[in-house]
Amino acid sequence: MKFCAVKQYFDDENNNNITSGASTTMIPLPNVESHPLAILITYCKKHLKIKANNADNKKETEKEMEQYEQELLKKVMPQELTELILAANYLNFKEALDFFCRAVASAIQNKSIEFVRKFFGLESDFELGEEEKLREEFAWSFEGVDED
Amino acid sequence: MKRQRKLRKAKTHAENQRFRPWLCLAWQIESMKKQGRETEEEQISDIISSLPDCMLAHILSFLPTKHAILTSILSSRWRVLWTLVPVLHLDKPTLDSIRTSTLNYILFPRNPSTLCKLCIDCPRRSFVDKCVQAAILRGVQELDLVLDLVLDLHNQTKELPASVFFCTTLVVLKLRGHFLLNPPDSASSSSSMFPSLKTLQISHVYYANHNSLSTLLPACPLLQDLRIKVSDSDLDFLDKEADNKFNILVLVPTLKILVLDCSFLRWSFKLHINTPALEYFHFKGDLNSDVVSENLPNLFKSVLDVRNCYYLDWMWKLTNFMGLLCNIRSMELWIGTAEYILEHSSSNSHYDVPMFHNLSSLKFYGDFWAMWSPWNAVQLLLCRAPKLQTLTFELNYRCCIRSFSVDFRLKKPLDVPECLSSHLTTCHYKGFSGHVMELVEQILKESKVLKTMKITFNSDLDSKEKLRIHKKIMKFPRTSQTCQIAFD
Repeated sequence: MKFCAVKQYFDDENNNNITSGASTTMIPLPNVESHPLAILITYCKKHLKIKANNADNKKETEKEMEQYEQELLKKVMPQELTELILAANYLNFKEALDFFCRAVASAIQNKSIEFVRKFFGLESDFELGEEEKLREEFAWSFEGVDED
Repeated sequence: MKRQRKLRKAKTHAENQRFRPWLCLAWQIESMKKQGRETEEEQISDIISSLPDCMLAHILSFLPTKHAILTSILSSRWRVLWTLVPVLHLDKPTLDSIRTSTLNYILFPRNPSTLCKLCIDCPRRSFVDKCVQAAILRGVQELDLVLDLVLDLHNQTKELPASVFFCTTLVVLKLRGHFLLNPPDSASSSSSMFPSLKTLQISHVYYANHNSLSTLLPACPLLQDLRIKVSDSDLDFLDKEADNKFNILVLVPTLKILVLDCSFLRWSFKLHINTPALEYFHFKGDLNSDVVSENLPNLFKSVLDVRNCYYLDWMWKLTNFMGLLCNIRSMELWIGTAEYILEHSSSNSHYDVPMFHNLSSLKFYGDFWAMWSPWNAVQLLLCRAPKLQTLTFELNYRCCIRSFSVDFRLKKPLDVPECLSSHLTTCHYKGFSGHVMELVEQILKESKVLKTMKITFNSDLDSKEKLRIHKKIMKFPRTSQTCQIAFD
């Protein structure tokens, strides 16, 4: 089961000997909003489906997954990525967590500091001169960065 | 004009990215920026600070270290976040341009955390030792070392540091490039080599002597995944005067996956495989040299690419080699090997490919040449797999200048393979370009219980061509009443 937190819940339930035998169990997920949860469920279902279709061939699975992920990112706004990351982490869903983290990483890769600050909505809280000192120290890492 | 320039830039950047699916995210960012410019009073809200430090470090772990370090200038919170990242990706441009003092700062930040993974693509020999020693001190689990080609062989070759061999935390080791592999003499040391190593991948390294590989492998107590590529150039340090073979002894009781590519090894070698736990075996090379494989009771899947069939006892050697694999469930075979088997069978060879009684999935892959007759080759192999359920083709058609076909007269005409009458339910042809319709035609004609024939077209074909092929295939007679043909 991909959602390891949910699996844990089921395992605990079984250990407590629930005798009702109801086929639908309410699982409390207090830290996850419905919107990111819906996206994660769709992602998970798609992942399992692609894996089943290409049981033998790992390359095919990766190719199809990439195509699906490309489509998915078109619909997701950067602001939603944070919620998705937190939700995937809470549910202990490793593949989705890695995917969304990679998406954020590649969004800021090779970008200027100003761009990244704007993208994340961050403000510089350094003291006067501190930032200049840091920029000097890491001057070598600015080579090859995209201009804003 | 400005907008066009921005869009073009975003596109080039996207092309340069390692992860291509994120093309669209770059476009999204562009549109966000445009929005930001239009409504300047509107502040883009902080989307990132709600994530805990470990999450931010996880995001940074997907960046080359150079870019992760850049984020230290974002704000005071981000100043030391990059030091929490358990992965160091030091690529060529970074290692080419930084000073030694800066490298020290990266390798040993103020509060060094455990380093899980170190990837270096290093043009400077002097840095390799430093990086590797630092990683070992920080309890590294995965080392991915790439050393580029250099011109001066003897001055520039880097011997892999001895500390790597005895590192207790190392689980994955990937070596590519001109390291000199000279494993220390295990008898002289009290501790075992590579005590935790589970995955080992080696290619394009130099071997110090004939036994470098054979002393290394049996010494690893936990090894499960081994992928080696050996070619002639790797043996440049060997004493070529002596008439010694290069020894590839894979005597590893814990090994589950073995990928061995010795297709570019012309120097005579001795290959001995004894791996009782092996589940997956991929072999590419020729069997001309001394090859012994034994004790493979758990083998599930095998991929075979055996070439160079132009010596007398090729068929005998192949038959022996394949004999050990005869219980596998799944096999992939290079179409050329199947073709060579056909050639040898037709020339009155006494030896036959063994029967694969448990084989349920068979795939033929690779380039095949216009003068070959793949259906006969395929049919010959199908006769050896009576319980086959799934048949797959992934073939690239290669035409040649002289388009003649060689018709091999078989010893006796082939019976219709038993699996076609009783077991074959699925056939999939990937990358179909319309050549060799005979394969599709014959399978549709002969299979009595076929349920699905799936044709995935080669992406080069235009829709007119696809339609023509579609029409032609739908006209082929089908023996199986339940057969569905699907096109992709």
